[in-house]
Amino acid sequence: MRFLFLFRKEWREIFRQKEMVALLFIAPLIQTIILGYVVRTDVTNLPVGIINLSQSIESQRLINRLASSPLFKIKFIASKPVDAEEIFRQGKSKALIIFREREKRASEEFSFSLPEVQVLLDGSDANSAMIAAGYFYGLFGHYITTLLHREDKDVPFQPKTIIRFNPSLNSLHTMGPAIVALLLTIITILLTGIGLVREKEQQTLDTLLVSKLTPIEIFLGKTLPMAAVGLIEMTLGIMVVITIFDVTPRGNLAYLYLAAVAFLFSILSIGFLISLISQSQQQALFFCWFTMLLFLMLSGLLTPLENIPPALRWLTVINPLRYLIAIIREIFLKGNGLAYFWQDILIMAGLGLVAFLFSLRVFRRFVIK
Amino acid sequence: MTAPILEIRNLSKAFGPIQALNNVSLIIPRASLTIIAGPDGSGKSTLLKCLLGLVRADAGQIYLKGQLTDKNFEQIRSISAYMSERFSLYPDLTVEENLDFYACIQMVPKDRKDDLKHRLLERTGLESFRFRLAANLSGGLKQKLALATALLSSPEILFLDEPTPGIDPTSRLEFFRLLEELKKEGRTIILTTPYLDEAEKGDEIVFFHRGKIIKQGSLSDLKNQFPLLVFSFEPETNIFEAYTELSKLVGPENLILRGRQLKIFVPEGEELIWRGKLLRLKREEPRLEDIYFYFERRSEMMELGHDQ
Repeated sequence: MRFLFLFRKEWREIFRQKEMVALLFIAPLIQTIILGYVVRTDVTNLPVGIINLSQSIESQRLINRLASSPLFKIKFIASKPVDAEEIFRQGKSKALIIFREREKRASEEFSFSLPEVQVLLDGSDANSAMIAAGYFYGLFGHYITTLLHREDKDVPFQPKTIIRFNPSLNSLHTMGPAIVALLLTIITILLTGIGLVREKEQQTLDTLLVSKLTPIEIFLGKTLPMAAVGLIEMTLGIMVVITIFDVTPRGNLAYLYLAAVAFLFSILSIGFLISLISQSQQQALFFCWFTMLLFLMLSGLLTPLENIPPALRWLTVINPLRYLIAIIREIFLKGNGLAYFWQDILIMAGLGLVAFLFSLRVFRRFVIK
Repeated sequence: MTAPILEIRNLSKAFGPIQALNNVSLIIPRASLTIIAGPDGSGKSTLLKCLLGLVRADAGQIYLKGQLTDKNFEQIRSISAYMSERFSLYPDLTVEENLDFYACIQMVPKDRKDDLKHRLLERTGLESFRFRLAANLSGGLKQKLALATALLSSPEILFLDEPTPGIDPTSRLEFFRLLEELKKEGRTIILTTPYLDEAEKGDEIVFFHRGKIIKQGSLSDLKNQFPLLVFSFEPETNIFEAYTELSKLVGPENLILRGRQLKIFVPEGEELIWRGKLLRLKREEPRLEDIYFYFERRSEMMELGHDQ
């Protein structure tokens, strides 16, 4: 238990710096709140331009539907043709909906006459364009179905979609908890990454090395305080998700802490390794940012893992953040228990063990030159 | 006969193309102050780190009290303390917290810790600064605190790596007074320094240059055994011209330019005729820096001759 001396020293050093305390505990909370609202995959307030060449009642009704939806923000309504490409170039709107009068009535069977509808989308933001296309399709489809039902007509084919776990498809519910995992990564890898290299710069590392502490004790003494800080941060983050984002976890949060411990084992070992091979804090920060960005890109937080090309997908297997994000979503949204993700926890622990053994090897081989 | 506390035989270490230590052999007697003097990058710190196992030597042996250590540095570490160039202190901890931490990692028994801590605070004059952050201490006080942390384990050998840069003269004197006391208590001190005036305080002075020992001995031995007479000469002509011409005459290893003066090393009985005149030279007692520069130049000349 000799590592506790080092643990206590680290803890004192962290809390003695007021700026550090603010940076560690207040900044992440603000970041969680901001990121939770900003990093969303659903589209709201999409700027839409309408060119209503039809001037029919139905076109006006459809415009009213669009205007009342929080998904779209109607920027202008024109009654004459406009240069669509120029509007997109100027960024005035991301979608243009053109209503034209039908030359011929579609069928005598119906009492209503729908205008021709053309949707033009700005593909420079492919993600938003794809999601918006789905929204438009859904809105028009729903409108037609309503009209047909009113006339006692059956829709020949209509798939019924039931969405489980997040019926409103609110991205805050998927992104919010996952951002807690991201913050846990950022804080712990940065703190550990600069921890040992600061000792090198202060030239206190040599004194630690000639002391009676073993490399394992130095590892534990340097990383466990960061793990404790990480777990406190995670708790604060979860509180933000529950109280501010209004996302109630369906599963047992104790499992999340279990997963976090396995995750921290791997991430702290990687941070320690970064600290061992870096010669200055500046270098360590660069390594940490590079590692974090790689972890983030390959985590499934921003893009689905299935979107990653197969040649690179194997990298996600050795990314511990991928597993934590999956587990956090399973606990918060699906209410899953250990039976569903014990393998993920084991993989994280395994990755941690490999990184830990490797960093110990590096410690023994490279710290003593 | 008692074996010396440390004996180094043919120690070598290279970092890539740089030969940091080149076949270094040295005997450190018990209860002595050995000062290793030399310019930055001459290999002084590497030598200390090799002795503590912080750097692995490529070749050579280290004997502790007559026993070969053979890559197991636990024995040396268990009876030594090391003070690195920048004092090895935690700036965000107070004086007392630094002492507490070092006492803990050096496994000082709990019942002895407080007593030892108080005695060291008193001895180093840090008692009134015990609650001050190490970052807010002056250079001299930081140095004393670092020494106090090193003394917590009551070491037999103290390795002090350049403990005085940036320290005011009064604090330096006070520091060496403390070292003298420690030596009298029977501790062996090995100190490195780039300052030759400090080296004079050592019982044994070891001159280091490019990873090699170029000369060693006590101050009196070094002075008495200096093979040449030292003269100072103030030329009336341009000093640089005089230096160039005289260096051809006596050899560059025997000439030092210092301010408006030239120091010339001449064998006893030899007269010096320059520009057709017998030079009127003022004889001086050799100073440590004269001795260092003479042997440094000689070593460089020999290396040059060897290379060619």
